[in-house]
Amino acid sequence: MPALQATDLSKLYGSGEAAVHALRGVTVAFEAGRFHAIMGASGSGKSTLLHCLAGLDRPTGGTVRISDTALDTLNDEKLTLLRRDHVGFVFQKFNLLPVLTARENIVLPLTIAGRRPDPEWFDRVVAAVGLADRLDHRPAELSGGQQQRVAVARALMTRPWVVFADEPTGNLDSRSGAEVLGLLRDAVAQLGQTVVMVTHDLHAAAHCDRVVFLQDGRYAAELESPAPDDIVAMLARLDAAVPAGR
Amino acid sequence: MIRLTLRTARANLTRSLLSALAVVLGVAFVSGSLMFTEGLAVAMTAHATAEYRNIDVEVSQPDGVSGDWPADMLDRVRKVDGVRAAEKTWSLFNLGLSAGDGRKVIGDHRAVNVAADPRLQPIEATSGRMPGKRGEVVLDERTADREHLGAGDKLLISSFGAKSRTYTLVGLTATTKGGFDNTGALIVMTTPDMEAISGYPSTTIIVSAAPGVSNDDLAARITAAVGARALPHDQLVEEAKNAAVGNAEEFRDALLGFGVIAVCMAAFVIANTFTIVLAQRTREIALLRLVGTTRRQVFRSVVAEAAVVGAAGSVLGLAAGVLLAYGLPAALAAAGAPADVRPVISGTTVLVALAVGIGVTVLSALLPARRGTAVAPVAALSDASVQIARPVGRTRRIAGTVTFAAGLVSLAAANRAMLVIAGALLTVTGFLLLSPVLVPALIRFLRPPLAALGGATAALALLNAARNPRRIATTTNALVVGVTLIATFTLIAKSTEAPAERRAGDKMFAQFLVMDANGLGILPAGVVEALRAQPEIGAGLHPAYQSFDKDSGNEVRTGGTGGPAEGSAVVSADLGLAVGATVTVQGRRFPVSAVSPGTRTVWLSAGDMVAVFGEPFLTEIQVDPAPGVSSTDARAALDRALQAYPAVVAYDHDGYVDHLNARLNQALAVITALLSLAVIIALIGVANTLTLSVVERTRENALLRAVGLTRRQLRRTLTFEALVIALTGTLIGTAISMAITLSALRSVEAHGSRLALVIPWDRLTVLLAVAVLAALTASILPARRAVRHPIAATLAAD
Ligand SMILES: Nc1ncnc2c1ncn2[C@@H]1O[C@H](COP(=O)(O)OP(=O)(O)OP(=O)(O)O)[C@@H](O)[C@H]1O
Ligand SMILES: [Mg+2]
Repeated sequence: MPALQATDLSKLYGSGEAAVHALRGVTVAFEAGRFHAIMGASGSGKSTLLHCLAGLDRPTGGTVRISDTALDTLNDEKLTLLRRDHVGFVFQKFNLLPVLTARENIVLPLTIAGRRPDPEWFDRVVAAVGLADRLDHRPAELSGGQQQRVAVARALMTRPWVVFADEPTGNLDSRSGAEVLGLLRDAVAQLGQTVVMVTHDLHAAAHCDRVVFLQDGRYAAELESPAPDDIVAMLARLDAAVPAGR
Repeated sequence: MIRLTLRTARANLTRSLLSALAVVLGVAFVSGSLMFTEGLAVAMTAHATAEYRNIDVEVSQPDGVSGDWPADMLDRVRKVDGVRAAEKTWSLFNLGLSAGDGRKVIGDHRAVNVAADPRLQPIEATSGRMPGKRGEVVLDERTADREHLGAGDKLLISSFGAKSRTYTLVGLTATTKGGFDNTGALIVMTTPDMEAISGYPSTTIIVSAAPGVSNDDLAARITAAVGARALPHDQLVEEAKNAAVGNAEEFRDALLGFGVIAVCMAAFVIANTFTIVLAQRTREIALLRLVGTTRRQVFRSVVAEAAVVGAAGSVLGLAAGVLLAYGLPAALAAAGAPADVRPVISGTTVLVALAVGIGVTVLSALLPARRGTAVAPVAALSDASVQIARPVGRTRRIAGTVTFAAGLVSLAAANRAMLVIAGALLTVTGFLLLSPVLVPALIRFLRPPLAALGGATAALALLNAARNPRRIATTTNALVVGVTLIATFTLIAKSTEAPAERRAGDKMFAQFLVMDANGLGILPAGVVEALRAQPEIGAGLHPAYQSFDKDSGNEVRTGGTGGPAEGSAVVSADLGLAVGATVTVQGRRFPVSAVSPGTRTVWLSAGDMVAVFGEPFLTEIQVDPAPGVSSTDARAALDRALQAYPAVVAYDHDGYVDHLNARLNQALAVITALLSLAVIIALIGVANTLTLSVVERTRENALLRAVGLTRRQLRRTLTFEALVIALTGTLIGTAISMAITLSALRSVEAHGSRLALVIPWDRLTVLLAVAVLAALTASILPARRAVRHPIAATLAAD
C-alpha cells in the first residue's frame, strides 16, 4: 500500500480571466520507504503539488491520502496536528526560527506538541546530520548548508510518515548540496523514511529511487532509478512537447 | 517623490493609522481642553458682567487696607452729589441651608443682600419676585431644581455657628453662586436680614448714579468726598472679567499639563512605530537607493509621510476634541467646575491642534528617519529580512546606570521634598535609558518558570517579545511612565490619608458623631441643649470643647474617653509638669492626673470646660443612645433635634467613613481619569508594536504553522506576547511608584509625622486588570491577521 496517494488532484488559483490551473487532475502514488523526486519545468506545478500533498494547502479538487488518512476529511486543527506529528518539511530557505537555537529548532514540533524528545533518537539524528557541536548556535550564526542540515534533522525528529522537501539544495553550493542529499538518502536507506523531494538538480534527482515528471500541471511520466542522462532525455522530450502558446 | 510618499503612506495604511491613533488621542485632549476652557472663560466672563448689572459705582476699602471704615459711610456716600441711591452689600459664606422639613442642603453656600430699590439690584428674579421684606429670600434655580424647592416653600438658614431662622422662598434667579464650585447655593435676602445674620459690618457700598451723571465722574466725586476706593461700572466689569479669565486660564493650564503628558506618550509611540516600519522597509529603501535615489530624498519622503500622518491624525483629533469638550463639563463637574459651559471652537485652537499633531509626529519621526534611511544600497541584495537589532550603545548604558543609581540614592536619602522629586525624575529617566538592557533581562529571567507553566507557546512568546531589546523597551517605556504616574498618585493619596476606617475608629468612641457640615469645626452652642432635650439620646452626650487660656497661652480641650475625670487635668509633656503637680486654667487650679504627648495643651473634662470658660467653642458631640434605645430610634431623635440646625450633621461610623473618603476619592478619580489617557496611548503603542511585529514575522508564523502550530496556539502565542509586554510595563511602573512613594513618605516623616505605605490592592488590581484586558484586546487584530495568512503561499513568496 502506498504511503502517499494523490487522486485526480487539481488546483485553481484566482478566478475568471486571471484563473491559473496550477494542477489539472494529477493522480500519483508514492510508496513507503523510497526516495521520490518530482521534476518539471518552472511553473509546471511542482511546489503546488507538494504543498497539497503535505497538507499545507487545500486542492481545489481531488483527494490526498497520507497513510490511511484522507486530508480533505480533516479540519484545520486536525490537519495541523497531522503535520506536526506525521509530516516533516525541508524548504528551500527560511526553514528555521531565528530566535531559537539549532537544538530548539530541531525539537520544535515536539515542543509544540508538549512532548519530550527521545534522547537516543535525538543523538542519532544529530550525529547523522553532523551538528553535535553547533546545537547552541542560532540560525544567523550557521552557514546555509548547516541551516539546511538543521532543517533535515527537524524533519526527521518526529519519525514522520513522509518527509517533504522543496528544492532543499536550491540555495547551496554543490558540496553542501551533496551533503544534504546524502542525509536524505541515508534517511531512506537506513531509517526506512519516505521522502518526496521537488528539485531542478539532475544530480539530486539521480540520487532518487524514482522520478515523477510534471508538465503544465499534469502528470507526464516517471522513471525508476534513472541515470542523469535518462533524466536529461526525458526533460528534453517533455520540453519539445510543450503545446504552442505556452 | 511626493507621489511615492503618498503611495507608501497609503500602502502602509494600517501602520499609519495606528500611529495616527496616538496623535488623534493627544490632539483630541489638547484641543478639547482648549475648547472647554475657552468656553469656561466665556461663561465666567458673562457671570462677572452680570454681577455688576445696575451698579454704576462700587465703593470699597482699598486693597490691603483694613479698619478705618466709618459707620456712617453709607450716609456720607448717599450725600455725594450725583448719587441717586446707594446700598451696603455683603457676600456671606459658611451658611447652613435646609428645606423647611429639615432636609439639609449640603454645600458651600453663599448669601448676598439686595436693596429694596429694584434699579439697584444686580440680580433679577426669573420666576416669582425678589425679596421685598424681612423673612423673604430668593434661591438660584440650579439648587432649587436639584432640591425640588419652589416659591412658597420654607427654608432654614443659619450663619456661622448660630441657630437657624426660617425664611420664605419668594422667587428663583438664573444667577448662580459663581466661581468653580457648583455644589453651593446662592441665597438672596433683604439688607436688614443680612445685617442681622452676618454679624459683621459691610465694607462695600454699591451706588446708582442720578440721571445725567457719568459713572467715571461720580466715582471721582465719591473718592474725593469720602476717601475710599470708588470704581466705575466699566472698570469693575473689566476687573471681574480679568479675574474670571485668569481663573479659567489656571484651569486650562492644569488640564494642558495632562495634555502634555498625553502628547509625550504619543511621541513615544510614533517614534517607535517609525523605527519599526523603517526597519521593515530596509530592503525597499535600499532598492530605491540602488536605482539612484539620494539619501536626502529618501529622508525627505519619510518626513513627508510623517507630516501626512500627523495632519490626518490632527484633523481626526480635532473632531474627537469637540466630542471631548462637550463631555468634559459633565466629567469635570465632579472636580467642581461649572457644568453649564458651552465649548468654544476658535481659530487658535484649530491652529494649535494642527501644530501639535503635525509637529509631534514629524519631530518624533526625525530620529528614526535619520537612522532608517542610512541604508547602504547593497542591503537590497543581501537578505535583509532578518532584523538585526542595533545593540544598546555604551554611552546610553553608562548614562542610564549613572542616572538610575543617582535617582535611587536620592530616593533613599529622601530628607527633603525637592530631593524626592529629583530622585523620582532621575530614577524614571535612568530606567528609560536602561530599559533595553533591563526589560529583556527581566523577560529572560522569567522565561524558564513561565515556559514550564505555559508550555511551548509561552516560551516562544517570551522569546519573540524580547528579540528586539530596543523595541520592547520603547514599547514598555511609555507604559511604565503612564503607570508610574497613576500609581504614584494613588499610593501617595492612599498613604497620606490613613485609612478612613481606622481614623473613624480612632475618633469615634460613641455611636454617633455630630459635626458642622462646612468644615469649620465649630457648632452652635445651642446644639447641646437641643440634643439633651431628646430622651432617647439626652443622657449619652459627649461634647468636645476647645478654648484658649490667654494667661498661660495654653490650648485647652476636652479629652476623649481616656480624658481626665471631673476636677483633674491631663497636660502635654512640654509643659514640664509631673503627675500630682497643679496646672492653672483661667485662674482655677487642677491637679495633673496624667501627662500626654502634644504641644502646649491642657485637657479637662467637658463639665470643667464649661465651668471655666462659660462659652468654650463646641467642636463636635459624640452621642450614645440611652440604654435600650435602638439605633434607628436614636437616629430619628438626632435628626429631629438637628432639624433647626441646617449646618449641623450627624454621622454613624459608616457614614463618617464615607464622608472622610468622599473628597479624596473624588479628586483621585479625576486625576486618574486624566492620567489614564496617557496609559491608553501607551497601550495603543503595545498594539502597534504587536501589529508591526506580526507583519514582520509573517513568514516565521507560516513556518510555525507548517511544522504543526495550530491556529489557536498561534493566537495564544501572540496574546501571551501582548500580556508579557503589558504586564512588564505595569509591574515595573508600579515598582517605581512604590519606591517614589516610600521615599516621599519618609521625607515627610523627617518633619515629625509618621506615615506608613498603604498599598491599595484593590486599585492596583484594577490597574493590572485594565492592562491585561487592554493587552488581550490589543492582540486580537494582529492575531487574526497572523492566522489568516495562507501557509503555502507565504512560504513560497520571496
Ligand atoms: N498563490 C498563487 N496565486 C496565483 N498563482 C499561483 C500561485 N502560486 C502558484 N501559482 C501559479 O501556479 C503555477 C504553478 O506554480 P508552482 O509554484 O507550483 O510551480 P513550480 O513548478 O514549483 O515552479 P518553480 O520550478 O519555478 O518553483 C504557476 O503558473 C504559478 O504562477
Ligand atoms: Mg517551486
